[in-house]
Amino acid sequence: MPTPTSFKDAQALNDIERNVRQYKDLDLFFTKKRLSSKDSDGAVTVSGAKSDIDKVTDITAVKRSIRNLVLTNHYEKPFHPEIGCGVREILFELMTPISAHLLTRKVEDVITEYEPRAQLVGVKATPDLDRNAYELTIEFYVLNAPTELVDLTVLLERLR
Amino acid sequence: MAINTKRLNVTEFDFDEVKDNLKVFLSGQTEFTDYDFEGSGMNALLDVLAYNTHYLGFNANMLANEMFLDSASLRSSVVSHAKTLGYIPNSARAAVATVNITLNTVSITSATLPAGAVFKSTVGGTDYQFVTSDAVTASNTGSGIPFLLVNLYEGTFVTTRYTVDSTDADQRYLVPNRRADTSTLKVQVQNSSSDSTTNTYTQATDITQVTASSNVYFLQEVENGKFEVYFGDGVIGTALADGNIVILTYVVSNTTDANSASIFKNSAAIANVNDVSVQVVDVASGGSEPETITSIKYNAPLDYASQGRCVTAEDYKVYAKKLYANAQSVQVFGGESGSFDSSLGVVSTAEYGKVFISIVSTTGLNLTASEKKQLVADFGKYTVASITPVIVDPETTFIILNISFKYDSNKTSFAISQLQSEVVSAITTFNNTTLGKFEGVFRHSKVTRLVDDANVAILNNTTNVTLGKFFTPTTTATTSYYIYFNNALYNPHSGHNASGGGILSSTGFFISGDTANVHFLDDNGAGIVRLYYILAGVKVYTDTTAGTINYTTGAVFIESLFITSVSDVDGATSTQVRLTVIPNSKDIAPVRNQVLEIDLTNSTVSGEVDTVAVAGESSASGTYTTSTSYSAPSGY
Repeated sequence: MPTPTSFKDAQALNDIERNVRQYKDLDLFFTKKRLSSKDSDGAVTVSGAKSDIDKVTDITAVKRSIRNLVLTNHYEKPFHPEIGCGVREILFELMTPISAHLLTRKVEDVITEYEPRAQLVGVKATPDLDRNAYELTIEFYVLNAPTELVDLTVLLERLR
Repeated sequence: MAINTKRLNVTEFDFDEVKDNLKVFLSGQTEFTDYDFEGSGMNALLDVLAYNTHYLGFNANMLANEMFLDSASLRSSVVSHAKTLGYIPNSARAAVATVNITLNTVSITSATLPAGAVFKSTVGGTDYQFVTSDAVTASNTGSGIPFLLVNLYEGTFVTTRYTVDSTDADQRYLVPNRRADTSTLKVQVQNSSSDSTTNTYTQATDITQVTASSNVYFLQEVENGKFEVYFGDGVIGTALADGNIVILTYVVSNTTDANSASIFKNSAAIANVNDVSVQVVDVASGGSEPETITSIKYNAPLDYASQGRCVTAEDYKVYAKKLYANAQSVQVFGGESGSFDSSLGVVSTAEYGKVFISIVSTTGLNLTASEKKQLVADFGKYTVASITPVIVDPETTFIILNISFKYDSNKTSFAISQLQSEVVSAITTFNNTTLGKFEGVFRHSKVTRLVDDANVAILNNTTNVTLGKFFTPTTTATTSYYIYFNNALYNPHSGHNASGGGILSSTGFFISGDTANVHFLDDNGAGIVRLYYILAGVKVYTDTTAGTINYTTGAVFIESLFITSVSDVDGATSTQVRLTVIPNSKDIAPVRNQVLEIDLTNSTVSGEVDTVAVAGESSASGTYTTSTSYSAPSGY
C-alpha cells in the first residue's frame, strides 16, 4: 500500500488511504469535478474539468460540515428545530467579551452534539470591533486523521 | 428481515421516516458517505428531498380525504358531496316570533302590512330588529285592522338585484351574506328594466314535476357558506333571458342571539297608522347557526336513504332535524310502542297510525304550540298517507348523585374542597356531553371511573343514585297525576322500609282543607303511596291510600289530590313538585321521550382522607370506615 507522502495543502487534498470509511460529501459550492490522475507516488495531477459535480472528502468534508452547522440557525432544518447553532442572535448583541464567550459555547455545543467526526480541541471567537464581526477559529482533529490538527477560521459578520 | 438497500422503501410519508429510507438507500452505494451527519451537504440535500416527499405525501393525503364525504374536512368539499346526494344544508335561521298585529283605527277600511315592516325588541339589553317577510292585507273589523298570526323574523330585510347578462359566462346569483335565512328567500324575476312584469319563482324540490315552463329556481351552498340561486335551462325549468332582473329578497339575521324575544313594538307607522298594538302568540325562537359540517355529514346520507319520504323512525329523525333547525336531539317512536295522552302523558299503550316525535331544542325550551303545528304541517309532504305525526315534549328525569370518595392526601397539595370541585367539574362535563340526549344512557360504572380519574389522589368512590322528576300540580281542582320513571324501582321485598317511608319522597305542598301543614308523599314498600305531614318530628299520615307505585315499571299514580300551593323547591319559589325514588339499578336508561340530566343542585360530593393509604395499614385498619352503597330516601 503506498503511504501518503507530503500533503502540500492539507485543505485541498487530504485523501487518506487507510482502510477506514472515507468521508465523501457533496460539494455544496457545486464546483465542477476535475479530471485528476494519481501517479505511483500518490502525487495528483489535475487537468481540465468535467461537467459533473465535485466531491469533497475527509478533512474538507468535515470542515464544510462544521461550517454548515455553525451557520445553521434553529428552525432552518425542516422538522428539526433543535439542530442549529444560533450565532445570528449573538451577532445582534453588543460586542462584549461575554457575548464572544457565549458564541464560543454555542459553537462548541453544536459541534459536540452534531459532528461526531470531529474531536474538538477549542473554539476561539475574536471580536473585530472595527468590522463589527467575529473571527471564529475552530480547532479540531478529524477522527480519520488523528494526527493532524485542523484549524478552521470563519468570519461571522452581520449583514442585516 | 433483511432490508434490501438497493431499493427505496416508499411506504412512509413522515419526514423523518422518508429521510431514514433515503439514508438506507444511500447506504447501499459508495459514492457519497456523509449522509448521516447533520452538517453535511448530502444531509442538506436529503432534507430537501424528504421535505418534498413529505409535502407531496401530505398533499395527496389531504386530497384523498377531501374526495369522500366521511373524511372531508373542508366545508366546501362536504357541501359538494352532500349536493351529489341531493342534500342542501340548512342556512342560518332567523329567530321567528308569531304575533297578532292590530292597527287601532276606524278611519280606513283596509290596510296592507308590507314585507319588511320593522318591529323592535330587546333581549338581554341589546336591541334587535324584527321584520315581516310577506305583505299581508286585512280589512277593518269596526274597531281596528287585525293581522293575525304574522311571523316576525329577526334581522334585516335585504333585497339583492341582478341583471341577467348572457355574455357574462361567470354570472352567478349569490345571496351575498352567510347569515341569510334561505327559508325567507323569495325569488322574483322582472322581465326587464322597461317591463315591470314580475314572476315569482319557487324552489324546485321534485325534478319529475319540473317542466320547460316551470318557474323554479335551484339552491346550493357555495364557497364561504353563501348560497347561490340558479335557474333552469329551458328544458328543466324556465331559462332566464338577457335583460331579466333577478330580485332576491331575504332576511339576514343574528342567528341565535334574539331567541326568546317576547315584547315587540313597531318602529314606524304602518299604513300611516301610529297606534299599533302587538300581541305575542309565540315568543321568538328557532334562530340558529348554519348547519355544521358534522351535521351535514350525518344527515346527507340519511336524507338520501330516506328518498324524500318518512317511513322509518330514522327517516323522521332526519326530517325533524331538517325541518326544525334548532333540534339538538330527536327521538321518534311508532304508535306500536307507546302513545301520548294529554292527561296520562306518554304511556306504553299502543296507538296505531301515529308516530310520536320528541325534540330536545338547543334553546333548552320545549317547542311552542305554533312550532309544533308548523312542524306537523311540514311533515305532511313526506309522511306516508294515514300516518299522523304527533310532537310530544321531552320529559326530563333528573339523576341525583351522592358521591363520597377517599383520597390520599400525600399525593396532592389540593384542599378537599378543590378535589370536590374537580369531581363536580368531571360530572358536569359528563352531564353536558353524554346526557341530555335521548340516547344518553346513564352508565354508573363510567361515572364512578370519571370520579376516580378526576384527580390522581382519588383512590375510590361510592356513588349512589336517586331519580327525581317534577310534575306541575293543578292548584284549582282535584286532579290525578301520573309520573313515569320508566326504570325499575328498588323493592327487595314487599313492605321494604315501610316505617321509614319506602323509597318515594316528595317536596312539600299544601292540600285543600289544611292550610297549616305542609304535606308530603311516601310509599309503604308494598305499592301504596301515602300522604302525610310532620308534627313534632313524627309523620302523621292523612291518607294511607293516596295512590299506587309500581316498582317494576317505575310508574307512580297519585289519585285525586287537590294541591292548593307548592312549597319552595331547592330554596326557590316553584310551581312544581319533585318526586324522588331509589332505582333498582344504578344504570338508568331513558325510554321513549325521556331525557336524563344530572341534578347538580341536589347532588352531593364529599371526600375524606383514606387513613390506610396515608397512615399505613397497621395503624389505621381498625378505624377504617366505608360508605354505604345503598341510597337513602331523599329527606325534604
